[in-house]
Amino acid sequence: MKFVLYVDANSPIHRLDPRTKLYWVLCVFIWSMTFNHPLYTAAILGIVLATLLMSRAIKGVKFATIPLTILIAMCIVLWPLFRREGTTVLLSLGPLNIYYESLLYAVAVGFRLTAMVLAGLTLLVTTRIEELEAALVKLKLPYPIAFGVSAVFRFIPTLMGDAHMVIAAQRARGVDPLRGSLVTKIKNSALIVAPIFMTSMRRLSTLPLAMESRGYTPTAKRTYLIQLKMRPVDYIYIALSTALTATFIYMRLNGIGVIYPHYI
Amino acid sequence: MSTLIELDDVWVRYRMARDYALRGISLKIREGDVVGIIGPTGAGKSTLAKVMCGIVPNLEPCDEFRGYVSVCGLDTREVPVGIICRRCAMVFQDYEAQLFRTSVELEVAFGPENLGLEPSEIERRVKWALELTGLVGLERRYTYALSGGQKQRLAIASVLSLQPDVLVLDEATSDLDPRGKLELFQVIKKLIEARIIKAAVIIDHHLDKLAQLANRIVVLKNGEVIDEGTPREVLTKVELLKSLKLEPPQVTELFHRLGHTRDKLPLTIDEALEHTKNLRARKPERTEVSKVDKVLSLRDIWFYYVPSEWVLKGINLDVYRGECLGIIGQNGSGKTTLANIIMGILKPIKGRVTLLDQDVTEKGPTARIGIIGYVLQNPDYQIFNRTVYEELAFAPKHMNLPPDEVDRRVKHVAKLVGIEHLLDEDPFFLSKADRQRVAVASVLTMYPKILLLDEPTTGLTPGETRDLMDLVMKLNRELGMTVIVITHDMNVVARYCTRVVLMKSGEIVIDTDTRTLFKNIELLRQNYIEPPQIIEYTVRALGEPYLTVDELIQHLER
Ligand SMILES: Nc1ncnc2c1ncn2[C@@H]1O[C@H](COP(=O)(O)OP(=O)(O)OP(=O)(O)O)[C@@H](O)[C@H]1O
Ligand SMILES: [Mg+2]
Repeated sequence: MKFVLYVDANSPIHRLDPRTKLYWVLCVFIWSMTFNHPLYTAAILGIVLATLLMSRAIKGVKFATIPLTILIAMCIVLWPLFRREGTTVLLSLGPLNIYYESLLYAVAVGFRLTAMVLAGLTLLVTTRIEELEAALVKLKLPYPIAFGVSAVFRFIPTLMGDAHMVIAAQRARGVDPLRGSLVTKIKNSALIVAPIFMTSMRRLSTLPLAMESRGYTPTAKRTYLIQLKMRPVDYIYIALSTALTATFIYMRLNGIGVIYPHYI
Repeated sequence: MSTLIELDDVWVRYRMARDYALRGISLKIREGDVVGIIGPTGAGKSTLAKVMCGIVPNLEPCDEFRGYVSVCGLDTREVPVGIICRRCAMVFQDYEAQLFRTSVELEVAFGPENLGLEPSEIERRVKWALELTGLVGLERRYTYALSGGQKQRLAIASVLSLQPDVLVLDEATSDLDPRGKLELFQVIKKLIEARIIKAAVIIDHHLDKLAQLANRIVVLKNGEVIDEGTPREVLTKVELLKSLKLEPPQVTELFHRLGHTRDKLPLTIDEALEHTKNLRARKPERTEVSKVDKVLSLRDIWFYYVPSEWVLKGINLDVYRGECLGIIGQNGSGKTTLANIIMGILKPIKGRVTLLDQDVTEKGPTARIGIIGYVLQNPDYQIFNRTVYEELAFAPKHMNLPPDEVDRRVKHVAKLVGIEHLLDEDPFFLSKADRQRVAVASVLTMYPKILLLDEPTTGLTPGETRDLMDLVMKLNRELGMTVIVITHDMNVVARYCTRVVLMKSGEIVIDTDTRTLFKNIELLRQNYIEPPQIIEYTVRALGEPYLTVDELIQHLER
């Protein structure tokens, strides 16, 4: 019954300014794209996991375990079929050669994607949506965009709550839209979608009216209740991330941490 | 006193509408005014409110808008709503549609943020508005995790924080507990005295409460003002109000029926007591509540949404066949949560639910099919078919009944509920009162043994409320259906319920028959319940509660 990612805790990561965390996520993206050797991408995944542990919010990402495992498995199965370059043939399936290098590369990409997803999730489980919105505003994004981001996160729980009630109401009348064969499920999905669509449309169509009746005018200057403040520790994190980024790029340029030098 | 809002001969016709919603309204709102607007459904009350805030014609499409509206000197046709609302702001009845921020605190801050106030001032106003609406402590709660009444309080708080000159409430207190409604009215009065707000316009059906707050009442019908004056001038026209299916204050009605002339009719309990001379009445008969055939039983139910924040704390409740049980209590006391547990939509953390001698604690709603019919507070969740006929046929069809039996049930229920003429309509485009009736009818076709209704009468006029509840009681009598109704409307409780359960912070504090409940007014007040006027009056004048005006009159000794 909970559809919010944020996990309330008072960890060092929670206390960081959301802008710092956004910057860190960006850095993780760059780091993981820098290397394509599994040991190195594993190290970056390690950094992300360590941060996640430090945030004491790991229970907020548990739901992603299975999807991420599937993601890694898919990488390992699929990439070797496409990146068919290398020197050591591991397996020969008729005309198809599977190389040792391509397998390593596949593992590296699996770790890379996992690190990226987990970094994003770390941001979301440690930052309240309103803080994220405030950060986007501070970063000079137009307010409608920042508002839109938070509105999406705002309406997901509402939508899920609506769906929950609709399904319950239908079960109480003898139909379980989530049971039965795939065909019945697809047939029944219209039963859930129709009322949710209608209620959501009613809500969305009144949104501009609701906003304007509370004094919103697109052109006027707004002020904000949530005031963000960078503290010394934020600058330390930013400096550290920047230094790591520089180091990692330097390493890559010198051919360290790569399986295929000419691929990302 | 200076004029804040002026309407001069305003005509409104909505897009595609055949008829005018307003026909030549002229009205002035002056400083210090509290204007009550009353009238039957479709009279144009909401349109009038929207016209005052410039929403009509700026944001809602009209084919025709004639006349002139000025709000603090601004012509509403020339200024956007975002600016007008700083002078005249409105709370709508549908609270869900007004909440769009993540947390309670930010919802209230949205207005002041738009005004460009300093962060410290925004913070001060948020705190102030939350205090006035009784939401302190919920600042960081996400808005979807609030109870219905708490959401409505939030909608009010987030308009109060704008501190407009004129505050417009369009049936915006329908989901508040009775005490909360009274307190909110007192808050408005104080704000006007302190000149933080300069005037208020209130659309409401509770005329006895309006009488204490308003200095002027406007009666609307078919888009026209048919009467206007002080509460005393208007609310003593008992016959007129009744012809509009409105409920005059109960003491006013009583004295009117006792033959007093209009100039001597009281509006408040104190006035009524002053007028009371040699009133004698036989004691009302005690209606015994039968406690033999247990249909539903809850044992030591505990529940939380967030670990260790208990919302239900050891509920014990037995429901007997054929009774009409009312569940009342403060906003957020756990009534809807309890209903969801009874239905198996939520599973208790601890405790047992027994239905017709079967343990259904671990079973979902499917185990209740045909036994309990649940009408949700928001009927839209339960309406999903294209025609009313299909809607009613849905449940019996899935109970695998033969087609002619399904058809028979649909026709039978449609006739009972009085929606035969709507069977081919698309339920989504019906009025709220009709949708409510379709929702009730759609569970009735299962012929349930128990009917569970969560605030079935909010948003309905007194006339519609009576029609709906009369229907429910007809089923109760004729089919022996057990009725459980959650409500904030104490008139519904007094008129229809045989037994009442009062909840407070997740516990049942009183469980007794209706008459005993209303005897102890002090205790009720402590639990945020305001008894109906006639009950408080009879307790004070006769030492005995009479539940309705009819009951008192039947027992009078002349
Ligand atoms: N999804 C949720 N998550 C967390 N808390 C919730 C959730 N839904 C309700 N609550 C809280 O549980 C308590 C009981 O809520 P409930 O909806 O049962 O109240 P209620 O008695 O029906 O109130 P009302 O009269 O306002 O409808 C409230 O304090 C509410 O804030
Ligand atoms: Mg409720």
